[in-house]
Amino acid sequence: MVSPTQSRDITLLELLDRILDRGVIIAGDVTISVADVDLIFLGLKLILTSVETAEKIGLKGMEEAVESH
Amino acid sequence: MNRLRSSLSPDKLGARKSKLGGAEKGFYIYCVMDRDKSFKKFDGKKGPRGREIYAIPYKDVGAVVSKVDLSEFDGTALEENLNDMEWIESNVRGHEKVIEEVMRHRAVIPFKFGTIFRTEARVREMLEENYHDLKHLLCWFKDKREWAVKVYCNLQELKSALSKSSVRINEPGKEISSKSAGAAYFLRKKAEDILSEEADQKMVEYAEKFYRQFGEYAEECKLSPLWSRETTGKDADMILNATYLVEGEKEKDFLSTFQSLKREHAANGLEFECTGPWPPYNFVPLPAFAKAMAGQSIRKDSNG
Repeated sequence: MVSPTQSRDITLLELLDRILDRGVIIAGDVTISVADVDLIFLGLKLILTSVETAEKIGLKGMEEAVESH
Repeated sequence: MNRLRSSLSPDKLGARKSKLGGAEKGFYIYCVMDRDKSFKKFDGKKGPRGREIYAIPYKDVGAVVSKVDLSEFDGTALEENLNDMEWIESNVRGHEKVIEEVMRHRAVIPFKFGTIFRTEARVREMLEENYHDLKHLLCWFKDKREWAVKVYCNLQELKSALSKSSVRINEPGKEISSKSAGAAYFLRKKAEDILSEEADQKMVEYAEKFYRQFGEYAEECKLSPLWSRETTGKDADMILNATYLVEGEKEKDFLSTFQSLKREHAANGLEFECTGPWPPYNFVPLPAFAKAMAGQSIRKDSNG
């Protein structure tokens, strides 16, 4: 079992997926639209993408998402 | 590569854009918790960057917050910060650490990153407006934790395991040795196609079977999109990505099911991964809160 706060790339991705896109979504007075940020894993390099976008493209074809930027 | 917008939705006093380096403060919410009589305060525990954490109470619930500098979350600053792995490490992991700490002692409803209110009164207002939904959810979450299971399949290994056991696949093989080169080629091709088909079917069967098996020990379960190889960096395909809300009493059985399935299927090219316990991020019903905020501007993205 891997604890959520251990330092592992996949777990960081799981963590980001949860806190950027899950949990209670209440419009505060200052809402960060972090959903607009890009997150993609390419080998050891971590780039940010919205989980929404990733879901739309079925989390495949990451090359397409990269090229469109 | 990094596109980023942070928006300040209009508050009741009218929209004001915070400036870089401005001293405007806000109240950052990590989660809402059950505030039973035993709760005093968060002795010594700190949030990200050593921030104080404390609870803003409303009846028997509380919002766990830190006072923050709005400038850290302002558009340009946020973009820079999100490019900074150290900032991510401390703020993102820090957000999670606070929730995990609170979760050790009581039921929590985790909030998405970046929910900030301008005043404590506004936080209390949010608690009041959503009190019944929050209370209901806290009751549901009591003594339960989220666990994530991912299963990966190495196609070559699966095919290898199947070809040893499958009659259908071995049938053509018996004829091949007695045929001409051309006929042999077609028979081999046929055998490969059958093997591919069986492997595809097997992966779907496995995914459904495992999803159900783990679900026997859960109060709620959820399927999430599969991650690509580019994302996981593995030489295998993800066939199951599921989360489960498991009662404390059933955790032991849930985890031993995980261990035995993992062992049982290692020879079939299957890899099992389990992470947890997580705060119940995946089991927060969104519509309940979205409707409570009718009338306020809600960005389409933030509704998930």
